[in-house]
Amino acid sequence: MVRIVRDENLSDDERVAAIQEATGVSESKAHRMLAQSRGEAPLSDVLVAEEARVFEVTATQGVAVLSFSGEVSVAEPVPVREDVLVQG
Amino acid sequence: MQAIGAVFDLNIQDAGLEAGVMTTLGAIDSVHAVPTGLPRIPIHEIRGRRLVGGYRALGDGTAVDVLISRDADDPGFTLVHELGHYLDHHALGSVSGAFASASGELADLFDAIDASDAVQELRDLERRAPVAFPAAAGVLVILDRDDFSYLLEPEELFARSYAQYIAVRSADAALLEDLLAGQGIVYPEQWKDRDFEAVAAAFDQLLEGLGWSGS
Repeated sequence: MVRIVRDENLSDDERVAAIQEATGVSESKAHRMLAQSRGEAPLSDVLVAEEARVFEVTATQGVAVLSFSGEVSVAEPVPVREDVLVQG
Repeated sequence: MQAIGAVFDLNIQDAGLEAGVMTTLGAIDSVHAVPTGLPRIPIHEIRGRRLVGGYRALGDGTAVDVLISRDADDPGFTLVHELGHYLDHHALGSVSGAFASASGELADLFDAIDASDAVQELRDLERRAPVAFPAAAGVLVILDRDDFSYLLEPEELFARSYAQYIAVRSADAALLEDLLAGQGIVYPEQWKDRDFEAVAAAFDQLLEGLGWSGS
């Protein structure tokens, strides 16, 4: 998995900047890599059905939220199924 | 045959993102059409950067939706990548709901992909992993073997090469800009232009053989 080391004294913004500097990835990809390093996002975007709980969708009041990240939402409800897999 | 936009229902609130999605679908249309009868699914807008795009399906192969984040740096390129997964899953190969890229049915395309310098370099990095990439102040970003193995999975190789193919053949300015950014990553997530020529030619032959070309 992605690991970020010797970053103890850095803010998250500084960590993202360091990831970008080290790898050349975009800012959004650096955010994703930081989240992956913390186990807050899956290492792989290819998820088999057993891993679907990571992306379990809960629908509330017309807004569906991907459970691994409270900041991720979609505008309309989507079907709640436990065997959803994500690939991206 | 039909335009790829006919396959998707847009569920996007952000006007800028919606315009970008329409432009991106138009770029794909300029390169190829898709068969009729494909499952119609929504493209949902999401927010955040922990997931900038996704293609969701059920374990039985049923397509659910495509996700695209309004906060992605490269929403167009990401969208083409995700649509590549959808096409790989439902439009290519002999079994709808199975990834053709993983079935061996796209042999000529994958012969070109596997022979590319980018894939050879990724395989070398996979063998040498963990690999540390240094930044200022001593910070190290370390990628382990599974990070490179993921990039070498056939579904991901297909989606990344499809996105690059659409960018190159459509000559869409935004997609080409996104591609250029992807080519700047220190490990070869995307192919250099010359390295991609054989892959693009294999895509040309694949789409011509399918009768998808010339939309």
